[in-house]
Amino acid sequence: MPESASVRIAAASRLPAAALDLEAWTRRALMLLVCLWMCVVVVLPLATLLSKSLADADGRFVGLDNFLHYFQNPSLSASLGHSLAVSLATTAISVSLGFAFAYGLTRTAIPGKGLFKTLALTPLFAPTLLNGIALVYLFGRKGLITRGFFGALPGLDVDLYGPLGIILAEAVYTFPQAVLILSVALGAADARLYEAAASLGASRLRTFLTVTLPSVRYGLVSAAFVCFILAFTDFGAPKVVGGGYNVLATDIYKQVIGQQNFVMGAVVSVVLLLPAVVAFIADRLVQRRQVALIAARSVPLAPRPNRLGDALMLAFVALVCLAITGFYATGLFASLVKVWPYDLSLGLGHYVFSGIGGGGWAAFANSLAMSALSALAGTVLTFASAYLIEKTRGLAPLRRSAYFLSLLPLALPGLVIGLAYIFFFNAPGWSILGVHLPNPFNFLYATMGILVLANVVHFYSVSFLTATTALKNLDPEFETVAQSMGVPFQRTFMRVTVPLCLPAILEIAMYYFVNSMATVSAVIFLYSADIPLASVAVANMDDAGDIAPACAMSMLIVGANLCVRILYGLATRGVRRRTQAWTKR
Amino acid sequence: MEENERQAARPQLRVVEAGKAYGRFTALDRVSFNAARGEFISVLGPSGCGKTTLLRVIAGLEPQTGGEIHIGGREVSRLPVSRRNVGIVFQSYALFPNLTAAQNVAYGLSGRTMDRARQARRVDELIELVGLTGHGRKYPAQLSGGQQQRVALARAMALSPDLLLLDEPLSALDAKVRVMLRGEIRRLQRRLGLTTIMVTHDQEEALTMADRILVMERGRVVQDGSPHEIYDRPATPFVASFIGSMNFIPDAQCVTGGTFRKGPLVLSAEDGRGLPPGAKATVAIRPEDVLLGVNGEAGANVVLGKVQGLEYRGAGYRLTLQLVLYGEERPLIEAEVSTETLRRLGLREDMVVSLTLPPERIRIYPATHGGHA
Ligand SMILES: Nc1ncnc2c1ncn2[C@@H]1O[C@H](COP(=O)(O)OP(=O)(O)OP(=O)(O)O)[C@@H](O)[C@H]1O
Ligand SMILES: [Mg+2]
Repeated sequence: MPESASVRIAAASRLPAAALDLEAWTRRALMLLVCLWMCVVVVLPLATLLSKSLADADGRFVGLDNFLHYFQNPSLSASLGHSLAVSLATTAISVSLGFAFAYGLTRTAIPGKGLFKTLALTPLFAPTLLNGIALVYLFGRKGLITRGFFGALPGLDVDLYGPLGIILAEAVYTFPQAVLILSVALGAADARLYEAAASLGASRLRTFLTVTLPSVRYGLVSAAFVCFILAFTDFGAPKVVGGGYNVLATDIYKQVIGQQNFVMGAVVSVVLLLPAVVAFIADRLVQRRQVALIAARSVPLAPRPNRLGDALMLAFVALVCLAITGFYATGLFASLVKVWPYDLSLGLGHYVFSGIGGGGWAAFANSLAMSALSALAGTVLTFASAYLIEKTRGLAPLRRSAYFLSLLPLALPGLVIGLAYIFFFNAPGWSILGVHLPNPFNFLYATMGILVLANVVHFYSVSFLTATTALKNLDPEFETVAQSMGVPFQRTFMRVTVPLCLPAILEIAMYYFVNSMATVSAVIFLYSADIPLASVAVANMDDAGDIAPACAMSMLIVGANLCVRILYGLATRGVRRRTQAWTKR
Repeated sequence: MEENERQAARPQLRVVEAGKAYGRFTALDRVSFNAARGEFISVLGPSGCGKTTLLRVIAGLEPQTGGEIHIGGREVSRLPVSRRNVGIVFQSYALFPNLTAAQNVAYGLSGRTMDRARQARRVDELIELVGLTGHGRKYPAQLSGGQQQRVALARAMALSPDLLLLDEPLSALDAKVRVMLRGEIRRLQRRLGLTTIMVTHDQEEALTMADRILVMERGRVVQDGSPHEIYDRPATPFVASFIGSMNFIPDAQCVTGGTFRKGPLVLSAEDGRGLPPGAKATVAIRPEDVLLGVNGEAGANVVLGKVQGLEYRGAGYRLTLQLVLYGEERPLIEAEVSTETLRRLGLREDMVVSLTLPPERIRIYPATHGGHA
C-alpha cells in the first residue's frame, strides 16, 4: 500500500452542484435556438416563397399552373436558357483563366506573387454593377476602346449590351473565386508524386495529365460550381449591360418592381433557385470526398525555376493583372472626368450627388452602418453557432440538422432571399386551421433590421464554414479539460476559443462587411425610401442614365472595402504578433 | 490489518460491472475492479480493446450503458465529469496554447471562492511540485514535450482530485524522457497519495509503474493483479503472449497429476497438479526460463534441441531451437540467453544442446481457455 500523503494540498471548493447541470441544459437550449433561428430566417421565408409560387394572386392554391404558364410563355422561359448560356460561358472562361493564374502563383518560380494575387482579388471588393459600368466605359457606345482611346487609335466596336457584356462582367466577378479555390487545390501538391513521375521518365505533359490534373480535379469541380452559381444568380452585371437579353435575375426584378407581379416573381425565383440547389448539393458531395484527399500526409512541392516557362507565365499573369487594374482604373478615371468623353478634365463633381436620385452620401453612410452591423451580428452569430455545433458532445441529430441548415444559405441567391423576406416579414399574419396567428416579426419590415438580417443570412454559410474550419483545428479535448475542472463552457469560450480563433473571426467580419457593402441583390427589394443604400443607389442612378455618379458611388464602395481590407491586414498582423508570443521559443 | 480491511471495504474507486455499447458493438463488457486509496493502477491491452473507453466512462466523458461507478464512496454513475472530482491528463495534453504554463495550471482555480493571493500561492506550489519552477511564464509552445506533460499534470492536480486519470500520458515523448517521467510521476503520485488510473499500451511502462495492472482484451478485464503476478502467472495465453513472450506447446495431454505428454515429449509441471488425467492443455514457458547446457545434462524436463536461429537482441540473444524427438512432432522453442552464456557455451547454429524446462516455471493452460495468439 502506498504511504499516505506527505504533502497536503488545500482542497479548492468546487462549484455548487446545480450550476453545472444547468450547463448541459444551456447548451441544449442554445442549440435548439440555433435551429430555431435558422428556421425563422431561412426555412420559413423559403416556404412562404414556395407557397406563393404555387398560388394565384389572390392566394388560392393552383398547383403547378404558374410554372406551366411560365414554361409555355417563350418570352419568359427564354431567360432560363439565357441564364444557363451566360453562366456556362462565364464558368469556362473563369475556371480556365483561373487555373492558369493559380498555376502561375503556386507552381512556378515567378516573382511578385503576393502583388499579383492581391491585384487578382480586387473584384471581390467591387459591386458587380461596377463591372458593368466599367465595361460601358470601355466598350459602350462612347467607350474608351470603342472610340480607340478618344481617337488616338482605330476603334473597336463590339456588341456590348447582351450576352457578351454579361459574360465579360461575370468573368471579372468570378475570376478571383476560381483563383482562390484553385490556388488551394494546386498548393496542396505532393512532391513525392512528382518525384515518382520524374524517376519513371514521364514527360512534362504526361506528368501534368497524370499527376497534376487528377490531384486538382475536386478543386476544378468545386471552382466550376461556385463560378456557375455566382454567375447564374448575379443581378448587378445583367442589370447594367444585359440590354434586351433577359436573364432570370433581371426577370425577377422586372416582375416584382416593374410589373408588381409578385406571383411570377416567386415562380422565376424558384426557377433560379433549383439549379443553384443542385449545384450546391453536387458541390457538397464533391467536397466531402476531397477532405479525405487532403488528410493524407504529403510533402509540399517547391516550384523549380524554369526560364522559358516562368517568363511565359509571368507575361500571362502580369497581363491578367494589368487587365483587371485597367478595368477598375477606367472606372475610377470615368468617375473623375467632368464630361465623358468630351471634357476630360478631372474633378470630384460626380461625387457630390446633388440633384440626383439614389440618396447620395446619406445612402453611402447607411451602407456603411448596415455593413458594420451585419459584420458585427453576422460574426457573432456564425461563430457562436459554429462553436455550439462543433464543440457540443452528443445531441448528434440536433447538431446535424443545425449544420445542414447553416449551409443551406449557400444555395440561396440574394434576390431569392430578398423576395422571400418581403413575403415573410411583410405578412400581417397567418391563419392556420382557422386560427389567426399575427406575424411576430412584422415589426422588422422596412427597417435597418431586415437589411442586416438579409445580409447575415446571405453570407452566412461561407462564414460558418470558415469558423468551423478554425474550430476543427483546436484540440477537441479543450472543452473536456475545462469541463473536468468544473469551468463553465462560456468562460473557456471567451478565454481560449475566441483568442485562438481571432484570425478566422477577423476574416469573417471582413467578409461580411465587404459583401454587405457590395451586394445589391439581397437588399434591392428590402430597402425603404428612408433608408437608401449605396449599392441600390448605383443601380437606380444607372437606370436613370446618371452613369458617372453611379460610377462614383461604386468607387466609394470599393474605397470603403479597401479601407476595411487594410484595417483587416493591420489587425491580423497585430494578432499574429500576439500569436507569435505564444509560439516564440 | 484493521486499517487495511477498512480501506478494502471502502475503496477510492469502485467500478461495478461497467458496460459500454456503441450500437451493437460492445466496447466494455461488464468491467469490475476496485482501486484502493493511493493505489496506482495501469490499464494495459492491445489497441482497440477499450482502455480509453474505460477511462472515459470512469471520468464521466462517456455515459456508460450499464453498471456503476463509485468514487470516494459516492455513486457518480449519473454525474457529469465536472462533478466527479477527477483530474484528467490527455494524450495530447490539451494545454491552452494562448495561456502561460501558470495560467494553464490556474485555469480551474480562478472564478472560485479563493482569493488571488491564495490562488497564486497554490499555482506556485503546483509548479514547484512538478519541477517547473521558473517556467511558469512560458507558453506551452516554448516548453519541451516533457515540460508540457508536467504542466498538464499540475493542471490536473490543481483541484485536488479524488482520482487522477491518465490516458497514455507518455506516448508522445521520446524514449529517454519517457523513462525519466515514469519515475517522476510515480514519485509524485506516491507523495500525494493520489489514486491513479493510467491507460497504456506499453507493457514496460505498466510493469515498472503500477501497483496493479488490469489487462484488457476485447472490452473485458482478463487479469487483475500485481505486475509480478501478471508476468509470472499470466492468467490466459493471451496475457502471456501480450506481456513478455511465451513458448506454447499446444494439445498436450495430462498423464497423471502434474505430468504432461505431447507425442514423445513428457514434461512435469507444478502448475498442472490439479488437472485430471486425460485433460488437454497447453504447456507454456517463458524464453528466459529455458536453461541451456552442452554437457549432456539429464533428468526430468530435459530435452535435446538443435539451434536453428540466433537473433541478436543487444543485451543478449534469442535462440530458436528445434526439439530433437522421435516421431513427427518437433516443436520449436525459443530461449533467451545472455551474451556471456552464449560465449561460455560456444553456441552456434546447428549445434545440439540440452534444454531444461524447470517444472516450477512451466504454466499450464487447460484447453477450455481456448487457443493462444
Ligand atoms: N464513438 C464510438 N463509436 C463506435 N465505436 C467506438 C467509439 N469509440 C470507440 N469505439 C470502439 O470501441 C473500441 C474501444 O476503443 P478505445 O478507444 O477504448 O480503444 P483503446 O483500447 O483505447 O485503443 P488504443 O490503444 O488504440 O487507444 C474500439 O473498437 C473502437 O472502435
Ligand atoms: Mg486509447
